[in-house]
Amino acid sequence: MVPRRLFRCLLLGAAALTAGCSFNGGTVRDELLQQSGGITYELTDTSFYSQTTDQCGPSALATALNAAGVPVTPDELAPSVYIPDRNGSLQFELLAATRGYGRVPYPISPDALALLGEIQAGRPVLVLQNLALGFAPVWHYAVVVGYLPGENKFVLRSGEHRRHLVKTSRFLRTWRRAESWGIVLLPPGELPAGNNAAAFVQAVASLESVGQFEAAAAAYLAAVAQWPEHALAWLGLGNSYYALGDLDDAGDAYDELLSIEPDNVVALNNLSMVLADNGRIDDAIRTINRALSLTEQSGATHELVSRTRAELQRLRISD
Amino acid sequence: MQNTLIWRLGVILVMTCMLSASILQPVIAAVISTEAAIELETRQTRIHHINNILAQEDVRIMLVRMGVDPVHASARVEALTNEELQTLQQNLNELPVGGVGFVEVVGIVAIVIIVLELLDVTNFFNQF
Repeated sequence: MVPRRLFRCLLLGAAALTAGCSFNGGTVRDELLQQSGGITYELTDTSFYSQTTDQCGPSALATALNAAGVPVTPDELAPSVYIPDRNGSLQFELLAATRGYGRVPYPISPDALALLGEIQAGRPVLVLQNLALGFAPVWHYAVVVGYLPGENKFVLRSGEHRRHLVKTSRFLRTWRRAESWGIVLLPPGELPAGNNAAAFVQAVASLESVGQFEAAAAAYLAAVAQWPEHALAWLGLGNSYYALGDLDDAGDAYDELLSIEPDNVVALNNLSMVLADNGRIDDAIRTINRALSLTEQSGATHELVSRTRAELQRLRISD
Repeated sequence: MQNTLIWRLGVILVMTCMLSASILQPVIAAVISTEAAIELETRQTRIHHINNILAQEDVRIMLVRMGVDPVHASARVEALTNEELQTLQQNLNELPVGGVGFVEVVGIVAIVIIVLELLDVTNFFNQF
């Protein structure tokens, strides 16, 4: 009995391995075919900058920024993203440069269908590839601009090739070795394909944290229109308006958030600041007291809220 | 190295002064930022603030050592979020730096793959 059971296990293992292999090839292809409906998607208008030497970062970024409505060249980008002694560019710096142009760098889900989804929505995807092997990596940035279901190939703006055709399985292998990292650059107000509110809001928050408040506000507005129950999007909207000095709209955004989550301490804290700035100091103190009653005695939140309360009380005395 | 150390000591000194001053003087309240709200429950914000300044300087120095123009390096670190800075401070040398030329790719890939193929480690050429 035991050997037979062992044999069955081995068979199952072999089946699982085979399934794994077909997942790499067949299944993904089937899914791509299904999602594309057999239709070719190619963003032929996407610009191209032939890569000189090792500057694929600036070239790929310029291509993607152009598609997002920013007229910029690789030469203009190089001082912001190129690292001379490492002969290349860091992913984080591509994100940072994107934010600098008021665009939201949105990391797509690491899978082929999400990639195709963005191309179908008309947005090229800037990807990182490892063209060699895990232990001997050769990192390369390219921009995916199309999918040809008939030929089972992706179309890339890559290196010196304006229209680089790569077999799906081959492209996916090089992409997976770079953790399937890909970004789309969204003009403010544009939402990514898919329906991942948290990922989008996080991407917008990065814009806000480097002081791009106008772009952030526009992006948050689109987010709350699409996901009206998403608390963090309302918070971000309020904070961006506050940073821009638009107290009324900031207060409205915090109110909206509190109608969804009445006990949101951060919203209460920030609303109290708006009320104080509007001269409504008693309402402000009532609001901050409520916030304080909702926090634990220790911890960073308590400390921040206590600080706000002390400031508001000082304001009331000086009145 | 010594510059970094002196800079760090300087920053710590300045931050200590600022923190003690903040205890003596009226506190300044502020809107809690969205980034802070995301990480609020997990980190001590004040300690975090000092770490961010140190990370910013560390990463700036690393970039300059790797050939980035000092004039651009400051602006480049300021464009990074706190989370990105912390990651770069710890892992900059291990992170992917994409930028290979096409000819170089062909060369490296071919050599590695051919060697592996000869050793029967891969079966690359049969797949295409």
